[in-house]
Amino acid sequence: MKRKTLTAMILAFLVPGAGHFYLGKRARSVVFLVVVLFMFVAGLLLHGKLYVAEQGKPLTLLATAASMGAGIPYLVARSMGPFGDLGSFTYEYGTAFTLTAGLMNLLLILDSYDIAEKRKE
Amino acid sequence: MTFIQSHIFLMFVYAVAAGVFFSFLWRNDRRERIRFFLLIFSSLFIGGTLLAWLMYPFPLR
Repeated sequence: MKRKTLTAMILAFLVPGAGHFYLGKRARSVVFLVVVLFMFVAGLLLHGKLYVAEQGKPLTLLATAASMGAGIPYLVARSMGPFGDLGSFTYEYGTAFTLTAGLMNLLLILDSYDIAEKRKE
Repeated sequence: MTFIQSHIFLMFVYAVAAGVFFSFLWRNDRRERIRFFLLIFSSLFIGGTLLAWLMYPFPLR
């Protein structure tokens, strides 16, 4: 793996769209940053759950991995305390938004790899 | 902000966000992006609404 590829993937993980920005795809990077951040923040504002791995609950590992895909936004949110109000009307939607944001960013990491390795434009 | 408590509105927002994301991820040409966005958006929004109606006859409990 080239150093450029690894750098792009790490940047893509840390900040949504940063990998694409590093690779010269400026317009796309802005779109990705806005969409992923919007989904993540909207999810938290909708009282969605920010997953943390829990002992004895293996599925929370998967959900945590998905949420952590958002990178630094996830770490910032974790430091702000627990999120998720089960009694809220928008709890499920919020959780879906947050998980989707993380998974989207994981896709962006893979896309950064493809672009850096010249497998796609 | 009662519109935020609307399932339809939240589904719409989700469909728009997912449509924009995947159209920029998987398409390069502007026209192709618009077409792909409409495909993703309609699959999610209209498909979701359709699914909801199909599930309507089934009781909650």
